[in-house]
Amino acid sequence: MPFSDSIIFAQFVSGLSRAMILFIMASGLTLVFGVMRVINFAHGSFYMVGAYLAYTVTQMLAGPIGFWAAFIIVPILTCILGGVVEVVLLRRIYEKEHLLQMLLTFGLVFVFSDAVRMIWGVELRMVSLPPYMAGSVNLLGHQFPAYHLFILGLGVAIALAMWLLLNRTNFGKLVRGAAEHREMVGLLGYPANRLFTIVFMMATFLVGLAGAAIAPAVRISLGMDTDIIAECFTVAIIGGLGNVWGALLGALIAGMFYSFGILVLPKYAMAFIFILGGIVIVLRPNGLLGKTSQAKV
Amino acid sequence: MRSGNTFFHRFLVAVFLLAPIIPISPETCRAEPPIKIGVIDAFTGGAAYTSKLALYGWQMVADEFNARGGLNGRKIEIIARDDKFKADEALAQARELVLKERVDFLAGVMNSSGALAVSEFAKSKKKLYMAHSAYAHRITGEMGHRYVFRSCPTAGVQGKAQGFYAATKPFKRWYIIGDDYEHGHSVAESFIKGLKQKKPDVVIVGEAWPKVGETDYTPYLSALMAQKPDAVYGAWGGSAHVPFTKQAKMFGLFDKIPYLAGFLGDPIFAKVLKESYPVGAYTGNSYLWYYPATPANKEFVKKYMDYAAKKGDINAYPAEASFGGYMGARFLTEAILKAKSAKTEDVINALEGLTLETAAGPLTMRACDHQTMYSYYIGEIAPVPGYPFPILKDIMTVTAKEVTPSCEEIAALRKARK
Repeated sequence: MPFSDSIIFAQFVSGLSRAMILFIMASGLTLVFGVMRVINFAHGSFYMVGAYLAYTVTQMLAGPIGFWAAFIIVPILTCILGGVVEVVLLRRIYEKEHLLQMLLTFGLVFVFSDAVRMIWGVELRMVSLPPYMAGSVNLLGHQFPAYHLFILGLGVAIALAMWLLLNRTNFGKLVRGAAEHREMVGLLGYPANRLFTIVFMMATFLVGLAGAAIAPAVRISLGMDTDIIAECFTVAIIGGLGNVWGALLGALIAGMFYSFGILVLPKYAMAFIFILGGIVIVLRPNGLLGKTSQAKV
Repeated sequence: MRSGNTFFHRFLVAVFLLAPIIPISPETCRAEPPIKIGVIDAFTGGAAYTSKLALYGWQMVADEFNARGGLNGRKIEIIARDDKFKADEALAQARELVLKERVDFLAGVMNSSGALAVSEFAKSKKKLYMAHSAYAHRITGEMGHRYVFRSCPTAGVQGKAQGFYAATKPFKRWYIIGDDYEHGHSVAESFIKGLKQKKPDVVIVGEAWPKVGETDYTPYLSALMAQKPDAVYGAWGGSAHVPFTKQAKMFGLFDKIPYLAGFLGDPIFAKVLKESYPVGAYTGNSYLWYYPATPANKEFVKKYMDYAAKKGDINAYPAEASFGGYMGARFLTEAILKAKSAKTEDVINALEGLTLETAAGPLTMRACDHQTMYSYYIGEIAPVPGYPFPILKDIMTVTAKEVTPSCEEIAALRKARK
């Protein structure tokens, strides 16, 4: 296939927009692991709940108002749901072994999946875009969906907001400290439990936002929770679990690999990111941006 | 223990011992054993919205069969099991249904790999298996045998018919994109074969095979459009239509490049996609609820919609999946009545070559390969006044004879496999 400049540009832009979606999702996942050392398999389930809630909101409030309302209401709802899950369930297992935590979040996947099916049924659902978002925009002779550019902007905004939060606030300092050395935070007198609840709620807020943002562009169906989770984890691992910028880097790599991969080796494009994940785990287990492990006393 | 308590305890024990008698009424004593049909399908997960339609078909036919008195008083009992669209799960359910529930017949399994697994199992247990929504041609092709029947079309037949239709259009440079699994590849292969047979100067300028369940087609769409093909063929299994069509619309694909894909005319997609529904694109089905508009078709549509409405599904126009399930049930029940028996060997003999009058005209279950002979209706999506959503116009009918492999070809395939 001839690689003209224009096709390279086209794939670059679409790779970026794909990366943003992955980043919004993986950032929450990586934060939860970094601070709480919990592998949240149910991350994809919150995403699915977010997408279905966006459907319900847009059904109740028609038109562009419903669309924007979903962006505000849905993350708040998933945030609250996350808070409930954390306080009622996760908190009881922090001191227990990793395996128990994984089993619990894994079990949550089934619970959420059935709950969604019972509430919304098995029908395919769809969220509509306001007309000014539904068209395409011309960039250097290529048509791109206006909505994907919006998601790109959203991803950048979230990345900036996270940077401000983590680097310019006391709370952010706390989160970074906890990600690096959990026990120390408790020893310094900060209530670790409350910190964990807030971090988990942040993560579920983000992933609910991702669900609401992506809902108009994809199929909202019962398989959503598991479809995305593998890539999400891989992106977080590549970047370094616990490192939000790692999630951004991992997402960019994943997006670009995929976008250009399908031109070069279409049958294997999907595997690239997982192969890279494997290489990273072997050569640099803490991820590309993760610190090399410190000896724990 | 005081004596009062002892009496009370004895009384309780007596009640518990006698309780099992209660459900045994004179009626249940006299009842004939039911004819059990195990219907396995993906009732949860992403494919659930379509497997439930096929089940409606089974339940409709079973209700009618039972209302008419069944087979000498023997009524049909449908046992539905979920396979989660997984082949190993389908096989496990089939095993349980046959060995524990002792079903008389097996049916269902939309996932073609699952269908193949259940088919082999049915052969080993000498149970009749009616596939009603799995399209891979191998099922009644080289992997077919005495115990498997199929009441829905094959990907081979549909792809080839689509190819014939595409050959009537002036497009020369085609781009193929589809789901990366058995169905996608097999329908694309048949499409290219059919197209090149009628229009040899056609060129395939590119191919893309995103994974099944992909949600973000953006990189594929940008690459596709940068190639500037004359036309695009979508080899999708079904549910991929929603995200792909939505995203393709956002890219402006349908305004620039003609698009042909199977299953897009399904009433579900028209409903779900709403303003993203690609008017002007080409698609087809082996069953259309509005064409041909025969009295038999109209009657079926009304019956089906009434039944679905009772289940809470309003305005549910029958889709091809509905019809596949319905025909599976009809073929099986008519064969049972014809054979006057529910024994597997008798029913198989009655099924072979059976022709039924249906909403889609006369349909035959071919004896040599146990495959229902379907025609294909293909046309352009357009809003037509009087219809609730866009339907097909300028419909071309490709008859079963034109695109179905002959008995000799099937026999050769099966022989080569041994």
